[in-house]
Amino acid sequence: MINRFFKDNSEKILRFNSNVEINDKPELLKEFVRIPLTPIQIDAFLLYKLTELIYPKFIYDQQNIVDIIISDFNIDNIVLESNVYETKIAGILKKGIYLPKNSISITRKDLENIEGLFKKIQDVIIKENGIKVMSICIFKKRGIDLISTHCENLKKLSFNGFMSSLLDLVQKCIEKGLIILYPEPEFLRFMRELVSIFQDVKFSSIYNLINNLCPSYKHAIKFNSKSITFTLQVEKGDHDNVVKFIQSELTPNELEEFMLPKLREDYKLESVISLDLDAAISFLSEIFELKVPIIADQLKLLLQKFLFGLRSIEIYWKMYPRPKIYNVLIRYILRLIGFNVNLRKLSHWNLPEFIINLFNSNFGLNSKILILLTNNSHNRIQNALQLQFLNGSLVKISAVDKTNVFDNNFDLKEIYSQLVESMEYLDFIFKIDIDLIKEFIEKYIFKIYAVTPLKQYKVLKMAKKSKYLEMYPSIPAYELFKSKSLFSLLKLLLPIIIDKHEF
Amino acid sequence: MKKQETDVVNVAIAKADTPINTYNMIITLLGEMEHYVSKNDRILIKINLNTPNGFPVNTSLVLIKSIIKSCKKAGASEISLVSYSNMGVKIRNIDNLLKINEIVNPLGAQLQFLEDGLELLDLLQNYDKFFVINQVNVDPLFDFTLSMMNSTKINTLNSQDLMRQDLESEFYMKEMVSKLLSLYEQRKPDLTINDLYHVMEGAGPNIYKDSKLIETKMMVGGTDSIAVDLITLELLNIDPLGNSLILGAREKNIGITNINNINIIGEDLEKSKVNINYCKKNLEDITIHNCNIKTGSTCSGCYHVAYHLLNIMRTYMTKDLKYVAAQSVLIGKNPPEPDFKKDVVLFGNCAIKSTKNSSFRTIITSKEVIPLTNKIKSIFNKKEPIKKLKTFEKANKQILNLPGCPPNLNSSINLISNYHGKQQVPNLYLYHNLIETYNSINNKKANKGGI
Repeated sequence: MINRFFKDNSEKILRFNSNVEINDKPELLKEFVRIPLTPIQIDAFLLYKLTELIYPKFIYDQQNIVDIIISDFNIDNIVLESNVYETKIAGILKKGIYLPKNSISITRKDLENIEGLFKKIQDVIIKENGIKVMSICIFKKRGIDLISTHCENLKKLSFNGFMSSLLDLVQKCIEKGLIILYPEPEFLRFMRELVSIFQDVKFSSIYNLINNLCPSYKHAIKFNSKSITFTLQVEKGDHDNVVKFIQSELTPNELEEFMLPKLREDYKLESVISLDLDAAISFLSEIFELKVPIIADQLKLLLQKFLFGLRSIEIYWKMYPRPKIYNVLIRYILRLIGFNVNLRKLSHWNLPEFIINLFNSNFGLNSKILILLTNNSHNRIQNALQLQFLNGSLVKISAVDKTNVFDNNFDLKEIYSQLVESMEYLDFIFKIDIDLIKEFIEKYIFKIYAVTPLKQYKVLKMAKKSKYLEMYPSIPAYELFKSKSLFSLLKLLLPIIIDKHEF
Repeated sequence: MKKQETDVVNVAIAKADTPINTYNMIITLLGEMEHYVSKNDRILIKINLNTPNGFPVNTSLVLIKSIIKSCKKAGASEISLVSYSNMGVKIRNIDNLLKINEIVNPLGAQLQFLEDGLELLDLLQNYDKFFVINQVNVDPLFDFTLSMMNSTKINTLNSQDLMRQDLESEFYMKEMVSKLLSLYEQRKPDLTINDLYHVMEGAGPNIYKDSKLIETKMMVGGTDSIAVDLITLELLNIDPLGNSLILGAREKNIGITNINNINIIGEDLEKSKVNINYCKKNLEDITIHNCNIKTGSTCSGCYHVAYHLLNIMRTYMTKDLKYVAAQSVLIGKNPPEPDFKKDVVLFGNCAIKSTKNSSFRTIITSKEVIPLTNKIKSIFNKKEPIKKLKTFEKANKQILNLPGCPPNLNSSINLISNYHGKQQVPNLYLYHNLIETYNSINNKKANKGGI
């Protein structure tokens, strides 16, 4: 039923998980497996520890699970296969117990009352196997077929191809309800709500868009938690991306001050980022607990936490080479010419609220915004996305058929007047050139460790040209941005972005 | 113009899935647009264009476009849109930003600017029909922004001429009600639609931190503005007879102010009632971080502007009020003593004058000093000199006066920003720059050879 490639890897993981218990030093087993559904090779013990860390946070923190595969057709008993996994540690599965064909009977009607079905299955398994399962995972046959097709393609797909396939698989399975988990984890609920916002926009196209906007890079991210430490190399080459686990010759106990430069040198990386994994997991689990659409107050709290993490360099994250903007001398010189750029004093508590309030008053509490990503060098509109906001929350993202109205037409006024008729209503159109986004991402995110004020200034100057950034109709904030010189704009904005005192 | 008690008017309540469907339904309920528009009629439509901000501060463009299309279909030869702004921003400037004319011109309508002495009544003489299309939001003075409020100029937020010495406390409100009703007396709208499809609750009618949008999916329409407003208030669970506008109309015996004389068509009134979070009526209830608000006897003009100023402070001054640390705002006549003597903002002439002798005006400090005689004595007695506690009094210079009755909102923001300095109130300084941008946009474009 399931793809061999996938099954072999899963069995290898299950075997390893069983061996961990009987082995004194499982970390020395040096067995390699693939992360399920991916082509990424990983030390089996690292996967074990990662699952132990992540699974209870995002999926279930309780033991024993039953997997059931059901038919897509309406037959008397739709169960095709079922296995019970007894787990001592949540998420660490060992060899499952195969349940005979008719031990569990499910009809399509049972799926309407999933809570009742869960209790029924729980009772059957206690009675037959003496195991109290705390969660059920139901896969529809169509979902299993999709997983099999995805796994079959893994060997021949490039990394970007695999990512697109995986994201499409996740989106399809959630959208069509091909996987049912009970009790439903917050993570799955969050994803389900997120998928409903994305309408006809594929996750894979968002991934490909972001990937295309990123410059070539070769970095490593070292994740640190109380129980594990591992390093991931992420690279974007000319043709494809690479993500792999790498190991330094240094032992994990050695000081990071030595380890990060060594890693950079060994693997010829642009930079190495060291990240507190526990803090990252805690932040992610807070995101997954949010109801989608995320209401403005919750978004504010989330952004506050993110910005607090960003400003907490050397607490939650480190970077080698250290971003030069943190250099006291450089900051002092910038201060002398009137710019206070101290990222350690990023106004994490004020910025989100200020931005949200400014956004609401400028764009309104109910707005529909069309974003056109243009490619000036090829003289065409590359992507068109429509965002819909209600009470300051993003409630809908949809793709707009760009060939209909604005193929090769860059005149926003003309586009607006045509679309406003066909789309019932449209509040604003933004035109952003991908070269501007690319430059921004490169100079302000990927090359943050270097200080190139002239290049960074050039990017901001680009943004003031309507060739690269334009909106129609206008709003006061955009007019202010256009009317002020960059120098006075920075003078106006920096005191808002950066705090005067530590609070 | 004056209605007899026996007159009965129709008011329609429509509810549908989209604003366009709701509008179509209300027009159907009221007997189609042909009933209101004759061939070659010249139509003047009064809309809300308050500030160059997003929906629902201004009338929804969907609704504006729908009504233009229906009027055109019914045979209107000319359609003009007009509005007064309420924050001192010229309509021309709002149009420069929001491009209303560019949107409505292809549909055969135009936005007229009620500026440079041009009044609505003067303009109305040239038109056959007068429609009012009004967006309903919460309002501190009249509970909700009613269609009657839409029909005339509410420019007191920006007026500098109301510096009266002995201001009667309800002068502003009475003056406003009188102004609002006078237009109705002279030229009654032929069709009024209150758009409640989306209603702003919490804080309004401009978008502030506590503003939220709720979807009622309803619109109310009819030929008698007062009756339409009365039913709107009923729908929003407000006693119409507690509303100054409806009371004013009743006193003057204009319009239909008795619900028994209103024939409701469409949705059932009782079943359609919605609960709305009204805006905070008591200024002291508006919580602003590190800011102590004290009110005395406040005239409605000062109350109105103070409400907006306090909400602007609450929305934009998050960081600023952390820097300022402790600020007091005194509003109205004889306000209580502030909790902090530092950074006292006196809002309006009443507050400035009535606190002339208040204790916060002087700062009393005491210091232990050794009088000269005690010093000499101590030299001879070879004892420690006896210290005496001496008190010093000096004028409190940390007071900011915001003059006017009511004070001008934009000037007040400017004065606060200048008083603290832009480094101390960076958020407010940016907000001030935003206001300046859209106030001056037209001039700049004109200088560059534009409009």
